[in-house]
Amino acid sequence: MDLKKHWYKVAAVLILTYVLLAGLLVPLKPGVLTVEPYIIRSEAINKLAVEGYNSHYTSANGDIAVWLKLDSIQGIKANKVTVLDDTHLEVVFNISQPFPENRPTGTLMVHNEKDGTSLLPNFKLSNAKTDKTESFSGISNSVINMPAIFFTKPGWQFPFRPFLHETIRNTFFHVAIWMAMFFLATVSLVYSILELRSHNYLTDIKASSFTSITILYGLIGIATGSLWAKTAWGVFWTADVKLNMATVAILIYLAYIILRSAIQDQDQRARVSAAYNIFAYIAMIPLIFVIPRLPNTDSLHPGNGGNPALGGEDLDNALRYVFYPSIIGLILLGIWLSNLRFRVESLLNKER
Amino acid sequence: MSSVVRVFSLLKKDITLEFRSLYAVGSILLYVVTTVFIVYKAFNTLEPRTWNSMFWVLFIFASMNATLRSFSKMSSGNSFFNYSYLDPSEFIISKILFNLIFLLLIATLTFIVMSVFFSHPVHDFKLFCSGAFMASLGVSILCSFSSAASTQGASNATIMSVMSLPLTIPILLIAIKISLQSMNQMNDSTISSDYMILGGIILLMFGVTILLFPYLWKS
Repeated sequence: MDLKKHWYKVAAVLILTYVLLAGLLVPLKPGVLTVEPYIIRSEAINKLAVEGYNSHYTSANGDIAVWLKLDSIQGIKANKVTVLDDTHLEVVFNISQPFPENRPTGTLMVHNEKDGTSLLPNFKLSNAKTDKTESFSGISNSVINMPAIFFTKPGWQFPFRPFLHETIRNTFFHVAIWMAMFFLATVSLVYSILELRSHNYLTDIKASSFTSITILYGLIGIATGSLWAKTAWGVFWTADVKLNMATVAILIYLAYIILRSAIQDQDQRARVSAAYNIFAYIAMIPLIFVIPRLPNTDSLHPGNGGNPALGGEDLDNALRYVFYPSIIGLILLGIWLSNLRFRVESLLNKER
Repeated sequence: MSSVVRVFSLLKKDITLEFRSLYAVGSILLYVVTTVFIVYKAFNTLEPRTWNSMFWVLFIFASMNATLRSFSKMSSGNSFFNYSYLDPSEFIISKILFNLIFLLLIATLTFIVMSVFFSHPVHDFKLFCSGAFMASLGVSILCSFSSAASTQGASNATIMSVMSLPLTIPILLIAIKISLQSMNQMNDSTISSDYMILGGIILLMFGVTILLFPYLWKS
């Protein structure tokens, strides 16, 4: 076997094996899954049932400290923390004074030496009175500057994000496959331009085989996104601008396949479909990159309205070690698939 | 003779040819009246939002029908003459202008006929008309391109709608948003950025059409 010719296939297999193994086996950081109730009232005794994830509360060295963080420096320490098992805590906050009016939410921090610090943001703070809660007017822990004991657990682990939990692993497949799809579409565009310049029927077949794999990747991208939406948002499909525009892009490329099958003459088919492919690629740019970024576009999808997206602190370094190889691996796999498709199509063309 | 004069003489030739028979205008009038009548019998009354969506659906299908023939009616001797004497970009610009006039006619006719059967809900006429104009321009560019491409190939009506319908979606979505705004159906302060995007898409598609048309009409 000539390794010079086939190196990218070997690389694709190796990289994708690594992505699958690391992407599915590396554990998530310890985190706080749920807190019941999700509210802390002032002038009351608050009993909270905390459920952790991947946490080791029983075997933790030293105390488990639970803090209610009010702003960037100040917080309130929990009065009593009872460990029920590895993933369950009972926490009591005795709060005597009311919360400041401009503080509707705080962050719950659970800290121990073994797991590091886990956060639960947007924890609701309330000054309203109810009959059910035990009222409390004794001396509570006061609001003090928080000590600098907090750290995240070291080692290679994926971040624990509220609502996403384990589905954060889908980043390596859903996001990466869209990027690989865009790369393949670009390769197909280049072959179409070459076809218009050189009139070689092989470049036409190259362009069409890359486009078919582009469509395949797009469909997989939509399917993985749909599954992710089911767990994160509760539905397979929402009236979301990014989802709809991605569908339109796929429709435009499907029209390319239909167009090709409708034209019998080889030269005409090559020319017309190359022109259409260039047109489709350029029409896709506003669809995917401009319209979803318009102001006032409501979207649940990451990258809009304060939702996390790529870049900044949202893409953790631990994710990067798998995410970037995944893009490269999927691109190489796409090139491999397209070449296979190219060989089949050129053989069929020879027969004709 | 400058190229502007050439474009306009081409346009004049197309208009004269088209209106000599009255076939084009007559068929479009009949198409619009029939479809609006079907909608009228199906709905009886229309909410502003439904009115808007029916208007654009009728408009887009009428324009597909109308622009389909913009290249197919050329005989082979005719196209040989065009090929040897004309500049492709002047030719496609004249076609785009001709289709634009046709689409504006369709939009006006659809609007008038729909206003006769259902009273129209438009409050801001300036906004509605400018949105309709932009949409007509975009659709005319797209339809001229795909009509040229499909005539080259199988000269098949299905191919043209398959090609152009997905491409028209972004233009139509923004046009629908603008016309909803003109009916006071949504409160959106970003309508000017919508105009910018629509204009950008139209410019982009115009440029690509001018670039690609020379490859399409050589046969």
